[in-house]
Amino acid sequence: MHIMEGFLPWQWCVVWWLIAIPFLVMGVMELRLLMRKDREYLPLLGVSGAFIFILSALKLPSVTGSCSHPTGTGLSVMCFKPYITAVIGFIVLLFQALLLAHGGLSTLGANMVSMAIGGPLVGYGVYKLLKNTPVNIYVTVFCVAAVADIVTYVITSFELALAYPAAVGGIVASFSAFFVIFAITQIPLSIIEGLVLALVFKYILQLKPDLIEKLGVFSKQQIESALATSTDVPEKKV
Amino acid sequence: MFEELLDDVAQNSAFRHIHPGTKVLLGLGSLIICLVSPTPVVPLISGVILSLVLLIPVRISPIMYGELLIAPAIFTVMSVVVLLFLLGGGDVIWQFNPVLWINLTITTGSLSQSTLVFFRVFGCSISLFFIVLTTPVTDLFNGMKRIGIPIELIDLMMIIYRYIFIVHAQAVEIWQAQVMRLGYSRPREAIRSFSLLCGMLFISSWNAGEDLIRAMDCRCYDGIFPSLDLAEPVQMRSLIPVIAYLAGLGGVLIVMTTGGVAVP
Repeated sequence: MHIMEGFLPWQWCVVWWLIAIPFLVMGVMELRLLMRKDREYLPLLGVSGAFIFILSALKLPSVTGSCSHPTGTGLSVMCFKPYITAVIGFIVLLFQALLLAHGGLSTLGANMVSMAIGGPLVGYGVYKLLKNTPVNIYVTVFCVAAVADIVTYVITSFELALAYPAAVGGIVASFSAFFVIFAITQIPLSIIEGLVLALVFKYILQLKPDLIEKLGVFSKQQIESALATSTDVPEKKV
Repeated sequence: MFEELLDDVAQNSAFRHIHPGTKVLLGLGSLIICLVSPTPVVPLISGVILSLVLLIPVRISPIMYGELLIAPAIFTVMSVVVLLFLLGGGDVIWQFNPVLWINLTITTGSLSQSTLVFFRVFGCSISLFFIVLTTPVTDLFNGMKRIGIPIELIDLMMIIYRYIFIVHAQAVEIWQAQVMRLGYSRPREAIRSFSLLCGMLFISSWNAGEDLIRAMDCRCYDGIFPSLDLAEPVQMRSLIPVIAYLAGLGGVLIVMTTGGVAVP
């Protein structure tokens, strides 16, 4: 769920754009460096970006009866690190505004801060914290995806609360109101997204473990130990 | 799953051959004026005029345009209702206090602010729709190159744009096959099928990326995609009405804000 075009006052649009731009610039600089090192990086990043766009356009089954979309940022931040994720997130959000009329141009900065920067940064912190511990890698993926998703909605609530503080209770009351509205559907959905991405990771590991190893998401030893404990082998063709 | 991409509509629009800069100037100009407007009148005027432009000269299907407006309208109404009870200021218009800890109040201040937000979303969304329904994304890429956006970012956008359609086609095929095999019949099955779908898509996307590298290597890829910019030159007969419209809208904004008509 994105903040829609025109919903935020122009002052807040400028503030969120100013916060988002340095991350975007850092992302482009990192992209340049990576391309100089390995020119194969751009096409692979491009198709992965397309995958994340499609992932965010697919309807996720929800226990609440409604539908929502995975953000895909948890998977992206583990594979491509936060700055590159900010670039991919920017492009995905821009295309969602231009191709699907989801979100908007004036609110792109605010949506970037919540979905492409804030959520992935906290998710990356969880990944770094759990990566080199004995915690099962599927649990790590679940935690990263679910935390990135929840933090995205916490930041979105904060952005809305700052723009529209409540008459009684100010920003805190407004934040509580927006977060409670989001939490009803988004907390179960974050858990489902975490489960889905953990299963996605499991299937990728079972079918193409070299891909995860090449991206440096987990070490060879961790991948082998995860594969040894996994028994449910999916069909090769769906 | 998205059923129709707005870019398909833009490719077939009657304004397809107008210079993209002129269309983006109109869309972004009216978006900025609506955004900074402290009164709902300016976004309302802008939204109505641009809707008429989209429906009559651009010839967008009214049914499709109506469908496009439904989603933002539902979201806006829901959000405005929350703002109506959240914000305050001015005199109390309506109050509902069934128990001690629930106090729903609508004041003149909250009503005027919510009305402003409603019409601002309306005006800004239609300004965005004007850009997306008349300007194909490929024209925007060429425009971005001209204004100095880093080439790596544009190249990445172009690859993502191209592969969205390929990955989407694969996603639809896999999803249909899963639905035919009752893959989404139960919640547990649905989560498993959806995960399999995403996993297969990731692997096939990665393979498509590796194929793309090989194909580009055969065409002497050196890190930059050269592309042909076939944009029509800027025509005065389309630019002058755009400038006149923005000047008029800006004039209304100035009159409304300095003439004491602005909503507090």
